Amino acid sequence: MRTKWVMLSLRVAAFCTLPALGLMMWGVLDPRPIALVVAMSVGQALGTLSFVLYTVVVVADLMHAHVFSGVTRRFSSTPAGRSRSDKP
Amino acid sequence: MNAATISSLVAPEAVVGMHPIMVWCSIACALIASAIVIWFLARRPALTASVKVLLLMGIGVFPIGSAATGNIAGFEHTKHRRFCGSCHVMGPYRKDAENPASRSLASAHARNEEFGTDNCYECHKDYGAFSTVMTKIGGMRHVYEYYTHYYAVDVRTALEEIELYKPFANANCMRCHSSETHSWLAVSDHNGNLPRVRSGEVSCVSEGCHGPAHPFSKPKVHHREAQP
Repeated sequence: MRTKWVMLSLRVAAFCTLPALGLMMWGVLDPRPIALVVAMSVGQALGTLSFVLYTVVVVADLMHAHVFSGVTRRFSSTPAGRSRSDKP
Repeated sequence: MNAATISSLVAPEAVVGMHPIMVWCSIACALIASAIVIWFLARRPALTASVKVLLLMGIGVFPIGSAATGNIAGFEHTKHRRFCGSCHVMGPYRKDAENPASRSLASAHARNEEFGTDNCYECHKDYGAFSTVMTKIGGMRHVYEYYTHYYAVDVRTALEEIELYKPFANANCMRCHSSETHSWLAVSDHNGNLPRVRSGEVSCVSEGCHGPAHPFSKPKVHHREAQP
């Protein structure tokens, strides 16, 4: 179920990237006011949305796999971490 | 919206005046990103670490690269006379500037190598910090006015209606034509009106001085009457 949700979200992000790239290319290949405004607003907003969705999905997936908890454990085992834990 | 209107909206125009390296970088980034994304959508691979990294490239890195280089190319192009003249109501202004036989101030500046194809932008831009960005933010009002009002207006009517939002600032002329040099001060009209010219009370581009800037420019008095 979870894998299905992750894959669906990534597919949505990937799908949104295509029109975003198309709109941005419209601004580059046909640089008139309407094309540039659409490319720099709708195109880039759609692209940003796709990237944010991808980031959320990947970070959630990594958190689910306890990747960050391993990193936290490594940080807490530094000398500074030990000195804090050694306090009475 | 009829077919002619749609075709005029989407008709391609030659990419002139854009930064060629930035244009090609933007296109290349977009193509690579598209290839990755289409591959992911079509093949539906298992979500391994390498696929995630590839998607990072396809959804993040390359689209951001395409947007960044496309923005630079786009901003550069907005300085070009062709861009200003792409709205039909600006056509006569562009034609006049490109006419080597024209004696207007705009045409004379267009023939100056310093201004060249960017002559509209060089004279009308805001100077100071963030000038390009501030000018482009101001230009958004032009786009709004064009698509909400002037899009369906014929050129003759538009030429009668169009005017600057505020009088042309003498400071823009004085960026190049310093009012401190001996040759400038040696002109009796300059010297006699020095405080008024520097304060903007007397316009450099008014009739009787160096104007009008365009053959269709309205007298400065008209601007003052038009303002509330």
